[in-house]
Amino acid sequence: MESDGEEEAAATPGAGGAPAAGRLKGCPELMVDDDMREMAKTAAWSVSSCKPGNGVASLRDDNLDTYWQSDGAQPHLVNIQFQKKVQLQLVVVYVDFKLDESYTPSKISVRAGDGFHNLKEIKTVELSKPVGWVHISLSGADPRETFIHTFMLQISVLSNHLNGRDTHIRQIKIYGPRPNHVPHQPFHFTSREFVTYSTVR
Amino acid sequence: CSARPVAIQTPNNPSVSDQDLQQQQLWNFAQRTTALPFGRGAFTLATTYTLLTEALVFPKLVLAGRLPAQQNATVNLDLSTRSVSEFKSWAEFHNGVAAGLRLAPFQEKMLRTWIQYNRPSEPNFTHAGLLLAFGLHEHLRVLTMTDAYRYLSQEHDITRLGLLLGLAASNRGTMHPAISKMLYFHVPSRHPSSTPELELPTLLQSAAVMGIGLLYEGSAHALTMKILLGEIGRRSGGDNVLEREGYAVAAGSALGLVALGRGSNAFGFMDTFLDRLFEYIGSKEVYHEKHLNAAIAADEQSGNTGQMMEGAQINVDVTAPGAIIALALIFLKAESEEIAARLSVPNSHFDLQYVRPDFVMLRIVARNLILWNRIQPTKDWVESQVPSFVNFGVSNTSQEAMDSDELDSEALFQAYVNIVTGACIALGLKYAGSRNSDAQELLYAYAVHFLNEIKHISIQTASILPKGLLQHVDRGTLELCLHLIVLSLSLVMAGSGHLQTFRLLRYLRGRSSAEGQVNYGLQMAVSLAIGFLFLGGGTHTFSTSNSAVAALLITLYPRLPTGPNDNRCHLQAFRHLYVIATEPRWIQTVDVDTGLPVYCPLEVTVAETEYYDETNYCEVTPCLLPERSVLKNIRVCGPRYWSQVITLTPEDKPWWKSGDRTDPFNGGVLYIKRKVGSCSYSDDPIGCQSLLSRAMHEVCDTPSTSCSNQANSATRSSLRVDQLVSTFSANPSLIAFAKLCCQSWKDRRNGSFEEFCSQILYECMSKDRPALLQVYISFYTIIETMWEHLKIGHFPFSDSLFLSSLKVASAYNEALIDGRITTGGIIQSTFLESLMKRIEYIFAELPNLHDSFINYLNKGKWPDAQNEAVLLSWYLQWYSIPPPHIVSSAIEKVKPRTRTSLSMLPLLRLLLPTTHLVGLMEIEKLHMTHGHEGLTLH
Repeated sequence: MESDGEEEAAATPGAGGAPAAGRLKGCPELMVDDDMREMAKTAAWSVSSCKPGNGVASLRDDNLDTYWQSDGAQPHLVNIQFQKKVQLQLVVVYVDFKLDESYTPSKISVRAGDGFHNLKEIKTVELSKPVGWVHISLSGADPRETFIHTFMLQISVLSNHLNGRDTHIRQIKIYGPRPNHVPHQPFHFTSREFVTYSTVR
Repeated sequence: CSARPVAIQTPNNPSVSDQDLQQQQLWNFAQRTTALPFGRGAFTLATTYTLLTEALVFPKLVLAGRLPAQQNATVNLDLSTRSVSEFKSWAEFHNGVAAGLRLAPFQEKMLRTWIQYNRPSEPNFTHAGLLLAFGLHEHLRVLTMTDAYRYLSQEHDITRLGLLLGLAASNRGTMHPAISKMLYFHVPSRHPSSTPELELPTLLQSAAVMGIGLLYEGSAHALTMKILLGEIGRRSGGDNVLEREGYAVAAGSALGLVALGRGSNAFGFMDTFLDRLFEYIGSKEVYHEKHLNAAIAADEQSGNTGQMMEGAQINVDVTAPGAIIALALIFLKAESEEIAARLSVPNSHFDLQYVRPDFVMLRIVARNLILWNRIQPTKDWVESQVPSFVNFGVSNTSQEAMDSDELDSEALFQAYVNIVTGACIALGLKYAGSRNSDAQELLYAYAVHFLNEIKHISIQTASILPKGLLQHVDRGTLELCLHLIVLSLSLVMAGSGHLQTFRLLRYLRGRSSAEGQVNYGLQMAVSLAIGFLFLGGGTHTFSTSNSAVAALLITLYPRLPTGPNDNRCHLQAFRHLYVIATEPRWIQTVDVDTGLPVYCPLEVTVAETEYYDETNYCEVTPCLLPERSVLKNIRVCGPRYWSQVITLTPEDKPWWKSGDRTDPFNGGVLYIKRKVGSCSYSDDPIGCQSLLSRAMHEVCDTPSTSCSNQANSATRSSLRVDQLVSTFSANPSLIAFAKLCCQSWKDRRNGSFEEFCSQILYECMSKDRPALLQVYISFYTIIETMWEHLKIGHFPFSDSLFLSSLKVASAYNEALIDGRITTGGIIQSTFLESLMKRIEYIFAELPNLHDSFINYLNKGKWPDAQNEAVLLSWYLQWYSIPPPHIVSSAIEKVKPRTRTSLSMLPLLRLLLPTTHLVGLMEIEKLHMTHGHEGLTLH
């Protein structure tokens, strides 16, 4: 029973890769491959608007009980500016239709670029009464395009359920591949001892 | 152009989808129409005057379309389907700026009442733009603080914005305390802590900060510099979080203006200051973290609205552009290797990840403004700006593909195109207003190549850029780079109306409908570029002084807006600051007789610089002159106008303002005097000197070649001479004489005299000596009368004084030939010599004269006949033969000293020094022939 649940949950990210396949529902657990890490700890986050007390910090506090609430015209934007060019692979957002109802996003667009001036749309997904973590993969159709290189990411909430005006998002996490410690080497070591001695210091 | 509906091409069967197509076309055209005032302001800069009783006229901004296929029916743009509020607002602001810039500076100060007269009852964007334009023309100095506060109290944000910028521009560099106070009122961080929080839009704050920079330009005011440094990195406190980037750029530009060109002299606390700036830029080295943390703590206490979360680090995306511009302007032309090295372009793949591609462009511009003298308009120089690893990367894309997971080829290409574009911008600023042909050709080549890349055109000739850029760089970046290079090109060719450049710009302007979506920012760039190309209707151009370079850099800030209302990255009002860089270096030549403008060649001498020798080149007026810092000499040259020389001392000063009494060019007017016999270049471009000669000879030849009974031919030739003289000369004597000749020539009595008159007319006109006409006629008449006397026996003369006149002329001619007179002849030598020959010929051909002479010398007896007596007197006068007794005395003295075989001539010469040689020879001959009679008499 538990094993079946895990398999079903694991299938969800794959379904996210094809928007036409259907709407995302989310899953209760945050499931990320071991070869990825969260990238946005040191990035600069900003939002297009916020209600007092429900600011951008609520997106990053690892507390599912707090949320960001927008307070302006649609679309509602979350901007993440990185200190350097980064490789990104996965965006995971936590939303809860049961608690937020018409504040729950129904359509989310992810854009990337160097800055506000040249953002390009990477992916658009639709959500259907999601509860839990929604995984949005940033990979393209080409197998070699497993991630994107970018200085800036923008998550745009285009519409909400039940035509709600403002939106609630409880958490956002952004994942990218772990860097290869030894450039040009086709594989990399995982144990601490091997990594320590993998290069001449 | 913006005041009329644009033509829309539609199929003949309109349907619902066609209406959507129409709206899309109208939307595209609206992007262009709203950008037109930018270029119109530059094009018509200072080209009109207005009466103080007239109201200012603003062209309309019409966004409607016209359907030629349906009898020019009008279709309105439906803005309700677009989520755009106040779409035309900023376009109307720019329209107001354009209308205001059009007014030429007044000779006297513009009256306050006229500005008040044009003030609308309700504040609007157009009048706000007008205030900015008046400020850029420095007219707002006449406004009192009461006037300013009345505008401020209207509570119209854009009016305040235009007023603040305009007042600061009118009082540039003065540090005017009242204006300073007004500006600081709009910087919230400068409010005392007890002040209640005012809601000030970020746009207004940006304008206030830039105004502070203009007001304190070049002052290096320490407190202001510290304040502005803090503003670059200030955390958000305003209501518009996402416009912080534009605010930081304004603060950085203002900081650069305050310490403009001061370099290391700008601060006594330089190290701390510079480290802070480099932190903003994103330097890897970290200094003074404690100070930084203290600043962060202070900012956070000022009230975080919850929209930003940046952690402890500086958001380089926001602060880098402003800091880079600040460094570029502070160290402008300072040739500081140290600062340029710290503004380095990434030199490894690892470093490249830490710098955004557009920041690479800004760094290239900045470091080259610092190393100003090394900018060269050569392809090698541009290529030298590209690091070797980038060059290697873009040249070996196939090899890089194998390692695409590790190395980002897109980053390499992005860096490459941004570096090249940054170098082109630096070239445009360095050679602004110079029309340097090397810079023009280079920038044009790069622009065309980018354009060809965008259009996927393969080039057969060798290209200056790697091909296939579009595979690695997004189209938006290429479009931006292309338009920035085109703007740089129009800086170089400012005011010249260069045709090749204009063709390129017209193509860019009109290609939108065929090749995709129209971008407002690109249309703004094209509009500005066209305006720069015809700056002031061709009367203005750009300077490269420090103030000018700063103004142009702010105008060209290489981040273009995405829509008419986009002020996020750069306040659109700042795009008009180019006016500060303009100079009316136009000159025209005016004929002092007619008072009309004429073409005239000028020789311009440019002083020697580090990289160029002293250079002479020719211009044809009206034209633009080089900058005052290199202009050395101007000379009116060519064969048609009298030469004039204006010598100047090259100095780093702005061009003379209108009405400046020290202006050697009288506000652009140089009076010249046409030489007689020359036509103006507009009347006769090819060359009239030979035309006059050919025409006169043609006229002279007609009588001798045609039959005497052909009256038409005579009439034609006489009219021709009359017209020629009137055409080439304004002297009334010459004109009257020509007419008299024409009348007499109809009688055709005296062909040789006719020919003589034609030739002397030509001589007097071409040499511009009408007074000589009478002299020539007088000489000719003398000779003719002598002949007449011989043939007819008419006695016009009662004396021989006329011969004395001829002898004076002969002496003058000999002096000319001997070189004793070196200032050039007045009368032609050949003419005088021919006169002398004629007289001697007359005397030699008279047989009776000889006998009379013999009798006179031997017997002292005059001839009985009056005719012969007159002739003898002429002969004696002409050859200065003394009385007979003197001649006899001389012969007696000479005779004993000579033998029969030797000539007496040298000794006679000594005894009779005033006698002509011919006379002496006659005397000797007489003695030899009649020697015995002499002896007998003795």
